[in-house]
Order: sequence, then C-alpha cells, then structure tokens
Amino acid sequence: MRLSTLAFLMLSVVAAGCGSPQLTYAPPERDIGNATVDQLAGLDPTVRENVTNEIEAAFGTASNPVAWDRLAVVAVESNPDLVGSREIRVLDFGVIQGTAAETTQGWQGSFRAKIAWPDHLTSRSDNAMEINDTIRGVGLQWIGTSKWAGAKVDDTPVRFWVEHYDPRTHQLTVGTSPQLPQGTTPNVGFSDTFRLVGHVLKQGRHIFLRQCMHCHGVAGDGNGPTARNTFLKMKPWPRDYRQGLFKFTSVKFGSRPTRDDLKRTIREGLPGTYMPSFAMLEHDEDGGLDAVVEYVRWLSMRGQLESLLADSADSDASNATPEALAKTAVEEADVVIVSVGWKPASTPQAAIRPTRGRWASIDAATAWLLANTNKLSDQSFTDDKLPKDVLRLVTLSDESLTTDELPDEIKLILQFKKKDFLTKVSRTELLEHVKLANDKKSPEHLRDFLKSVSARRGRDWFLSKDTPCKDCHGDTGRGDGPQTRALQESKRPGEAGKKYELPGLYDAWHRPLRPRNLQSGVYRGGRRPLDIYRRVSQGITGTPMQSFKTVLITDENIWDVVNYVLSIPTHGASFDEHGHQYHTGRNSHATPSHAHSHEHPADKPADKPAADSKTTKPKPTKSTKDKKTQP
Amino acid sequence: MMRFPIPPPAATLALFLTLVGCGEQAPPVKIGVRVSSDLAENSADGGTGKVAGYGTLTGTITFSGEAPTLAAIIALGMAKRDSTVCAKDEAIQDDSFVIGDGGGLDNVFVYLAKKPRGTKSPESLEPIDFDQKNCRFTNHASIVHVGQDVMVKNSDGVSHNTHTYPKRNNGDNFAVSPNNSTGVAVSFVVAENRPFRIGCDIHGWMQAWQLALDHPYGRVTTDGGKFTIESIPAGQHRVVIWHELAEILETVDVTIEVDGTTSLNKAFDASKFKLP
Amino acid sequence: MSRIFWCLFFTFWPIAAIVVCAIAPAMDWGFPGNREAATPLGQRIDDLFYLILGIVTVAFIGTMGALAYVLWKGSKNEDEKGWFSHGSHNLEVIWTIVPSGILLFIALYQIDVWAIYRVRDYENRDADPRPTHLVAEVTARQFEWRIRYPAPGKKFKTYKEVKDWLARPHAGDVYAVNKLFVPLNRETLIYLKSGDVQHAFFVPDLRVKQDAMPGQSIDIWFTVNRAGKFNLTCAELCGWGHYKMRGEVEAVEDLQAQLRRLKSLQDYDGVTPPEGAPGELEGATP
Repeated sequence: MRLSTLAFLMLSVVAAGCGSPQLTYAPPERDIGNATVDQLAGLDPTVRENVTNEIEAAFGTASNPVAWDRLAVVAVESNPDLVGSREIRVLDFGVIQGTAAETTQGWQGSFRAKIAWPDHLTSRSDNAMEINDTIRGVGLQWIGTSKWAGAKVDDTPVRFWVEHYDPRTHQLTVGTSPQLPQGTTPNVGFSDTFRLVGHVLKQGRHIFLRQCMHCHGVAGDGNGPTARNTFLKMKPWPRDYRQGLFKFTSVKFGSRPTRDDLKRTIREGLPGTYMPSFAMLEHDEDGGLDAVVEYVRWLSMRGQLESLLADSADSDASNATPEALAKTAVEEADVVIVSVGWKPASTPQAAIRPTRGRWASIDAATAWLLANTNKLSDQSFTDDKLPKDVLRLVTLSDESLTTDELPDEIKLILQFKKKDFLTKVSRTELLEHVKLANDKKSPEHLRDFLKSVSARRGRDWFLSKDTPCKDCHGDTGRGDGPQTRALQESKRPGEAGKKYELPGLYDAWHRPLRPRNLQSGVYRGGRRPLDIYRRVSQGITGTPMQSFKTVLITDENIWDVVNYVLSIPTHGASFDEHGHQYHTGRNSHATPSHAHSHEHPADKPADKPAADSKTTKPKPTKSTKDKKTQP
Repeated sequence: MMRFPIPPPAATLALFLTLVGCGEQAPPVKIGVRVSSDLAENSADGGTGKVAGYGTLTGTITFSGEAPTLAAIIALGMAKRDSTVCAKDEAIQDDSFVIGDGGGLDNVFVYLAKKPRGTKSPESLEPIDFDQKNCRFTNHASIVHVGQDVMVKNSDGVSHNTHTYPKRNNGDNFAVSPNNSTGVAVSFVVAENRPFRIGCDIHGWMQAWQLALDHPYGRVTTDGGKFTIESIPAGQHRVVIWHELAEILETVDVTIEVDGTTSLNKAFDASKFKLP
Repeated sequence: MSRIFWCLFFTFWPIAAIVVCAIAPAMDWGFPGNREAATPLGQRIDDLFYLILGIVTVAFIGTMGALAYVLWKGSKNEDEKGWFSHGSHNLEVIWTIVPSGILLFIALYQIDVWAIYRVRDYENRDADPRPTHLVAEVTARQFEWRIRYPAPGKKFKTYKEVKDWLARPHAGDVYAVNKLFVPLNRETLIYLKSGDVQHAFFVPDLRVKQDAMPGQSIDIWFTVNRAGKFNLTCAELCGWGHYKMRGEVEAVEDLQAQLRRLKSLQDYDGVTPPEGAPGELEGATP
C-alpha cells in the first residue's frame, strides 16, 4: 500500500476516536430484554425536559455530578448503648469543614484562601498529588457572613470548587463558576468556613466508572455496554439501582439495604452470577469500598427521584411545570427517599437477626459439654459458672425439653443405671458419662446429627400446604415447580390485564427469573446459615420469593427449613415415609431405596419409626398434612 | 536518501501516537453542591387556614356502550393448581371490569389528588379486612389511610402470599397461612399518587388494587358505579378518577360548596379501557 | 571511519555483557519480586533458567567477539582481494555438532524437572500416598477464583475418594473466593476447573502456571517452602475483566486452623459468634 494512503487511513482512524467519551445518563437506544429501560418513557417532550432539568439540578450530569445536601440528612442519635452520640448520614458525600482566611487573587477568576482543614484530609496518604487528585473539582460551600457566601453573578448563584490545595501551606485555590469579574477577590468574613462537599462521591464515581459502569451502566440502570453485548441470552441481568430494590439484604422485604449489605455484595460477589468478588478494592483503594457504596446509594436515589417525578408529572399536568417539579423533588427527597427509604434505622442492629432458637441452645450446650470435660472435673468450677444452656440441660430444669428431642449422645449421658431419664443428675455423674460418650465425636458431628433431625422437619415444612415452597422450587428443590410453567400476570405499568410473554416467574424488573435450584449448592446471597435464614424469613426483595416468617413464626421452624435447604446438595432432597433418606438429583439413584444411608455416621435412620414422626410434626399442628403418622 | 534516514513509517507512527495521546485529555470532573437554602421554601399544603365549611361530592361513573362480558378467570373445577380449594365450588370471576345495573362501573377510584386545607383528621383508624377466599381477593379495590392497618387474612385451605407494589411506600411480600382469621397487619407510611397493585405469586391470577391516602376523601365506586364523599372542605379541588384497565381516566376540577352537594357524573366508553 | 564505529559497536556489547554479569549479584538484579522462587521445583526451574542464560551469554560473548575481530581484521586493507573459499567440511561439522551437543545437554538436563512438573505417574494411583495432600479445588470463573476446600480434618486415602469429592459438594466443605490457603513445606495438590472459558492459574512466585480448560479437572502439584502471600493472576485472556482477575495464595503453618476459622465464619448463624471472630460479624453501619 502506498505510504500516503496508509497515513491517511491511520489519521482518519485516530480522528474518529479522538476526544474523550461522553458519559450520559440517557438510556441506550436499543431496548433490551423487555425491561423498563427509560423511566421517562411516555411523557410529553416538554414534560420530559422539565423532569430531566430538575434531576440535573439535583444530581448533576453524568460528567459533573451535584451533591444535594437534602439527601445527606445527618441524624445525631444518642444511644445509651454507645459511648457518646452518633452521626448517621443517609448519604456521606464526604464533608470536610474548616475556617478560611486571607484571600488573594489567583488566575483567571480564581482566588486563593488559607484554609484550616485537618491535616489528614482524606483517608489516602499525605501525598499532595494524591490529595489533589481526590479533591480537585470538588464543590465548596461557603458558609458565613461574607456577602460572597450567597453571591450571584447575572442572577446565577456563584459556585465554588477546589482547583488546587497545598497541604503544607494550607493554601487553597478556589475556582468560581461563573467566573468573577476581572480583579475581584472575594474577602472572607471573620469566621467563614469553607465546606468541601463531595470528595467521597468523586472517589466512588471514579471507581464505579472504572469497575462497575460497563455492566451496571452510567446511571446504574443495569444497561451498560457489557450487559447489552454479553447478556442478551444470559441471565441474570446486572442490577438496576433505580428502584432502590436490592435482592440480597439483611432487612425486611422491600426495604432499602444497609451499607453492610451492599458492601458484602461487592466484596464477596454473587456466586452463580456475573458479579465477581471485588475484595481487592479494599486493599487497592483506601476506603474504596465505602466510597463505591455511597455512590451506588446516590445513583439509586437519583433513579428513584427520576421515577417519582415522572409519576407525579404524568398523573397531573399541573405537576409538570418546572416550579411544581422543584417543589415535588424536595418533597419526594425528604419523605420517600430519605424518611421512608434510605434513612437508617435508629438502632445499631439494623439488620434482621435471628434469635436463639431452642435447637440452637441444645446444640450449643452439647457442644460446650463435649469440649469442656476438663472444666467439669475441676471442683472449683461451680454450677453458677456453667453457661446457662448447659445448666438447663444438666438440671433439665426446662420443662419443655422432652427426651425425644434430645440427641442420642445426651441421652446416653443422662441415662445411667437404666433409670428414668427425667431424674436430675449430679455433675460428677454427668462428667462420667460425658467421658464415655465422647468417643471422638466432634461438636461438628453433633451439629450434623441435630441438623438431620431438624432437616427432616424442614422437609415437612417444605412440602406442606402452609409453606408452598415446592410450588416454585419443586418437590426436589430443583427449581422446577409448577409455577415455572404457568403464565403470570404482567406487572408492567399499563399492562393491567395482560400476562407476561413467557411462562414462569418474573422479577420486579420484568425479567424472567427462575427459582433457585437448591440441589446445586450455589446460593447467590451467601451460603451461611444466617444468609439462608434471611432469605426464608424475609424473602428476597424484588422477586416472588416471599417472607415466610408470618407462617413459620418461630425461629425453630425457620431453622428447620434452613437446615433442610442446606442439606439438600449433600444429603438429597427427600425422606420417604419411614424416615429413610433417598437421594434425588445428581447425587442420586432415581428410585427411593429402603437401604439405610451409609454416608454420614451422624444420621440415624429409622430405628425409631413412629415415635419420631409424631414429634416431628410442624407446629401449629394441623392433622391434614401429616402423612407420616402411623395408625 | 539521507545518511541516517528516518523511515517514513516511523513518522506516521509518531504522528499517530501524538494524536492518540491528545484524545486522552478530559476536563476534570466538577462536583457541584446544591444547598437546601438555595431553594425557595415550600409551603406545606393543608396549612392552618380556616375553612368555611364542608360539603359533599357524590356521583356515578358509568360505562357507555355495550357492556362486555368477561370470561371467568378460572371456570368451575378447572383450576390447574390447588383445585381442592380454587374454583372448587364456584368459578373465579374476573373482577377487573365489573359493570352494575344501568352501566355503572364499579371498582373505580375517585379521590382528591392533594390533601386539602382543613382536612379533618380521622378520630380512629380501624383496621380494614383484606381477605382471600376461593383463591380470589375479596376486596378487589380499596382505599386506606396512611397508618391504617390492613389485616390480610386467608379463608382458604391453602397458603397465599400477598405481594404489594406501591410506588412511594416500600413493598411487602409475605405468606399467609391457610385459615388465618387473625390476619397479618400491613400499613403504609406515605400517601400514594395512584392506586397500586396487590398480587399473589402462588396463584398468579389473583389481583387487587389499593390506594393509600393521607386524607379520607377517596372512595371506590360500588353498587352500580356510585360513590359519595362527605365532609370535604369547601373550595376548589382536583379529583382523580382511576380504573385499573385505564389508569387515570380523567382529572376533574370540582368546587365544593359549604353544606352543598356537588355531583360528578362521568361516562367513559370502551376506547378509554384496555379491555382483555 | 565507519569501520571503527562498527567494530567498536560489536565490541561494546560483549564487554557490556561481561560487566553486567559481573555486577549483577552486587546490584541485586534477578527475578522480580523475591528473587527466588518459593517452591523447590521453582528453584530448580530458576536454576535451569540461569543455566541457559549462562550458556547463551557465553555463546553471545564468543560470537560477538569473533565478529568484532573479523570486522577489524577483514576491513584493514581495502585493496585486498576477497578470498574465495570452497567451504570447510571440518568447520561445518564442528559448528553443527557443538550446538547440537549443547542443546541435547539442555534437553536431557531439564527432563527431570519437566517430568516432575508435567508428567505424573498415573499407573499406581491407589498405592500412591499423595492424594492425602489434596488442599482445594479451584474453579476459575469470569473474573474470580472460587475455591472449595474439603472439610477441616478430612483425609483422602485414595484417588477414587478424591475424584468422588471433586464430583459434587460434600457436607462440611469450606468455600472461599480469591484467597487460597496452602500448607507450608507440605506437598500441595490443587485441582483446577473452569466455570466458563479458558483461564490460567498463574502464581509467579511459585513458578506455577496451568491453563484451566472447561470440562476438565487438572491437578497441580507444588510445595511452598517460604511463608507469605503470593499473587495469583490469570494468564489466559478470558474476557473484559481478565486484567483484574487476581487472587492471593497464602502459605500458612497451620492450614487446618485457617480452614476451621473459615468454616466457622461460613457456619455463622447470626447467633453464635464464630471462633476467632469478634461478636459483631456484620458491622453496625446502617
């Protein structure tokens, strides 16, 4: 090829790619996956423009975000459990405040001031270059008596931002927009302060645009370029933040997640999805995870406000004027976004946490006994030093404990001279029998045994009419229940009488959603018992998975179901009517077998037939569903 | 050729690299600050101004034209699931479009768009019932006050789950055990702009609509499309007429006279509705 | 004058090579990072590397020096007529046999290392005590490393047990992401799987690199003889996130203690604080 042709081609290629990419919150032109891509769809063009302008005033454009202090409600709580009072921020933009003095003129409309900011400005190093990277361009709020604090030039309020900061001399160069007339140097009042607002937002945005934007989209709508190009046939879609619904949280169904929930998702990833673990952000970027969490919350609030303004403008034409929208924006921000939505709970324990169920306490007591035999032999270790659960167990002072519910090891401990089980035993006698029973059984084994008794009850719940788990998850937990084959009502706005196109369940983002295949052992929200407890007890926000606490009621029952769910991948999904286990799924033989299960020594298959099945009836007892009662 | 020639491709490469470099320069990000005090203070509506008196709004919403007959959602005995309970003794009718005598349209929400000044706050908020029988929500369209408990009950022998989809409030999704006559309490914290859907994820055909208001001036048309709203503060108000198959049918400005009765009768034809 | 220039040019490089080799130890020039591999096999690979470097350097210095000499000698007299050669059989034999000999030496010398690294004795597996060294199954996924350890205290007696364990989840398995604990000074066996596309398990400090092929479980053996944390990176382009697919391999004295700690974290039920962890597992950040 001739050189000049080559040169021309290269130049045109380069020129085409020249210039920085334009970030925009506008949705992509192509509608993908039948989801609600554009929250402003269906609005008149002027109304749409008004709504967009209001959102831009409150949140800024994609290239230049705005920190709106209405969202950063700071609640000062004094809690007797905590030392001192505590500040709770709905959104932490990153605020640093310090008094300003001695302004001098700078270049081209900027001016310099001496700032009494703390020495450690951000959590990053003292390195001036790094600090400037973090805070350059961040907005400044001038609070004080000086007339420049609320100044206007041509009726536009003057905005200040950081151009440069020298941490050694505490000299701050402040840029202004619009530019001040030539020669004016604002002078600072006596105790005027400059408040730096938004460096956490800037850092979070920076990390988000690098690591998250390509899947989650610039606006956090789940429509990033990677999503559009990779996920057309694949599931699940990246999360759309704009409704404020996040699936794997520790809070009640429908509530906004806590910061820990978001942090956990980002740090651990979601196994079985395209969301990888970003634990490296914790090490690489000092404070990076926290900043990203704030940015995600901010994007979510932006999306919510956009949707609420569109709804308000759509419901009444008088609501669609810029003045009405500005008023509505303030109201929605205060009430819906902050108070009902993202305002943190007033107690430190915001997350749903189980209480100690009865099984947990027997389990804990037994484990303690087996692990602390040497303590028991110490005569100076008096009864009042025993843990409460152990004391209950040892003295059987809890009337509600019947012998049927005790594990065999404990029965062995308590049975001596073939006497009545309910006799109180002395501590030395107990010690003797603990030693006898302690033939290398570890507390883990005991927990497995307890789990299988509990798991059998959980299976009863799983298949019962009270808790229709099998309707979606299927008899064997494979995620193939009858609901996955039924056409469901469409929840899309404006499609009141219609159904979704494909049979099966859909999520709140109007995408097909398959119930979890419990046999795979892959749990997106985490595999800890606590995580499964939360899924069963509170449901999964934004999906048809409902909260079952209203039906299961007690923690014991919920733990039964949790133990069953956790045992499915390894122990199979079903027990036959004699309490024998048979495997289904990939572990499995296809037909039930009456052979005892050999795999786990802690299992005790049906040496005890009817008695067990009677006591393992779920409460509240309803005679209709107990298929195992022997006549 | 020069003695130490610089090959032409190298020149092009150098030019290319320079130009590529120039594309990287992006303007620094500016984080703006929007301060509450910059915004004009909004005056809360429903302020403390005295009100001259109260009046009544009454009327009928009708459907003009040939009333369509909707097929039952599930015919008698034809339920594919839970057939021992659903549609066992009677078919499950379609409640989405109920027309009474004289073409009156039931289950239409008529409510004031905004809380008017002089609203009498309700003395007590009794819980309202929301039952499920024959795999159907008994209360297909209802209006609740914010803070008022909705007792979700279940008179069926199978579990149902109640999944709400409000816009401004947080949604809820919980299971209700069979034959639960006490019910599970649900309430709403914020007023909604328009009615929201309630569904059952287990029995997908079950749908109901509910509206949460921060004032008591809303009614659902019943008994042939009739509604009456009493004790409305006198003055001009914006009234929204809403039906599930049409979303907002119309927003009307009405004037309430002191101790007077304003009537609001509207008729809508099939073009307004997305009939199934 | 260009004669002098080119002679100097070709004399400069061998001298530079000699100088660099002489001062390298004093300047601490060597492999990046810790200079020395953290596995015995890695150290042998490094030795091979240095051996080949040595052979090549000697050859380089020799040939460059010869070239410089020939340039100088041959260009002195510009009027001299060229000397026509019919070839020298002996010379050709010499410069065929000597390099072949060197290459053959290298090939045979490294066979042992290659065998240990890549070829295992698959014949007598059941009698082989090595299965007890199974540490983890590593599944490479876009863009993370999902690790599954067997239950703490679990021992494998035969390969069949190992294969059985690899085939499906087992009770007591411990799961982790991006962090692989390996025992110190004990032979370690990792099974590498891929969750989607080709990846490669690459730990530079251990001199371990193995491609992860979808559908295969590939065994990787190594013994770490230095405690510490080593970078795990992906070495096979696997998508947009390949560059950040990083993990950490940590060699610890007591692997079982780490597994027990992970297991108790994994078993956290919100009620009983796990061992070794503070009571409040999830922070109180609302």
